Amino acid sequence: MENQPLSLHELLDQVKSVVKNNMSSGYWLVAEISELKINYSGHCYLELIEKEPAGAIKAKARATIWASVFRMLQPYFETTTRTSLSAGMKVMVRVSVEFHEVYGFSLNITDIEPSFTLGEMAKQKQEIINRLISEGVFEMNKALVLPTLPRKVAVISSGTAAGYGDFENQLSNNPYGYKFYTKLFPAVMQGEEAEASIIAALDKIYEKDDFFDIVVIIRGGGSQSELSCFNNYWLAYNICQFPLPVLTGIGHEQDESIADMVAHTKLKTPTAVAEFLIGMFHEADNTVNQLSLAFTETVTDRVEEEKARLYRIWLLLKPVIKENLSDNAGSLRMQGVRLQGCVERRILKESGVLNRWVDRVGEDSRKLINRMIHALEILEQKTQYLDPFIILKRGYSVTYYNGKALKDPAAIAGNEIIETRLAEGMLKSKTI
Amino acid sequence: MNKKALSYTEAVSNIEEILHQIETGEMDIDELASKVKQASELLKLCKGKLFETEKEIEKILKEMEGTGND
Repeated sequence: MENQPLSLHELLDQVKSVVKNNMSSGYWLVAEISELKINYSGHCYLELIEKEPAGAIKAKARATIWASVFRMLQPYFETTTRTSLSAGMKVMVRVSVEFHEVYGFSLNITDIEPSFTLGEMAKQKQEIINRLISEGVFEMNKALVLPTLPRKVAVISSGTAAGYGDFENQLSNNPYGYKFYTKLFPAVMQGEEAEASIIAALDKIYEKDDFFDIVVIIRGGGSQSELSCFNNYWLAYNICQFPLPVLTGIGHEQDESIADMVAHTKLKTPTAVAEFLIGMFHEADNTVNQLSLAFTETVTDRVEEEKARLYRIWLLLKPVIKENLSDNAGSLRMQGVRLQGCVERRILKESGVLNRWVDRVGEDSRKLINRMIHALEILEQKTQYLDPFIILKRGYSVTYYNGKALKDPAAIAGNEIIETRLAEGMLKSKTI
Repeated sequence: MNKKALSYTEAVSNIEEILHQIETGEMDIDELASKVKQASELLKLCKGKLFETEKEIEKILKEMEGTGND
């Protein structure tokens, strides 16, 4: 050991003077905020980090924005970026390097460049958008068909937000008296918890997705800052793939959030969402009214048409009817009825007889045919006896006088020619 | 046809179909009366969906309330 040992203070004091003498009074620095706390007296304490591309922390330092500076820097930053300084944000800050014997190494922030953060946010936002597009989910919620009548509305909002109250009032007091059913799924709508909280609410609605028609994410009344959660990748991813159409009324005045971009329909405020839903009902109402009107007209037309047709038929029939029918149409009708009865009874009776005949013919047909053959044989025999040729053959003859058969000899005088028909020919002779 | 299960959209398209049948003369005059009755019931159903409270829906919402939100 060459020298006397130093006290801790002596050593750190040397470090302090090295830092003081060798570092310039200020540097512009780019870093990511990993932690941020504002204490009761308004001082802002941060932890700044730099990450490797793979994510490992490459450098880390404590930093401070003293209350007197923070009071000016904060509004300046928020006016430009419309978001407040928060963890996860990339910032460009002007720092001086400090070393204190008790508090150690820290960076004292004296100025900030909001446009850098804005650029970083835009870049980050674009990266998320590109990722959602490349994953093929960006347009998924937009591709869902909006129900014609969104009656059952699942609402994601903070239950105490003014915007939620406005939304509910607008719907329940709509001037037409339409009936909506809303169910609040409460969620934290700003800050770091918002992402997980809104996703949890979506998950709860997902369990009842066959009951609800539509999901509404609304926020209103809070500050315009703290909206960066709506640019979050996982929230957007969940909205994209949600099975029901999602409507947003988050209340961005200027640029759209990613949640707005991927939602089925983006509206500016909760009130605008309510108006949109009422508008849909109104449209449906008009449709029903028009249908009702068209229906009445069409049916009336159809009935009139049929009436006209009947009238034309009547005109054609009238003369014919007058000519052919007796005035006593009533008696005619009665006769008609009676006639019909008679005919029916007769048909019934005759068909019974006919049936019996058919049966009997079936049974007796052979007997009947035999009997007829026998009769024919007898007839043939009889015919043979009566045949004049056969009689002539037996020796009988017929005598004709003047072409007529002679039956009485007294009918002729002497010396007349008579003809005699024999079996084998004619014989002419003269009477004496 | 189960009327309870019929959605607004289905009811509207049913009415349109009946209307079309009457307009084009596809429908027999004998059917007209029953179809008119059917259509007016459908129109009533549509109007009901716009304006009236459905007990079934309120019951389900109440049940959801029971299961809690957090």
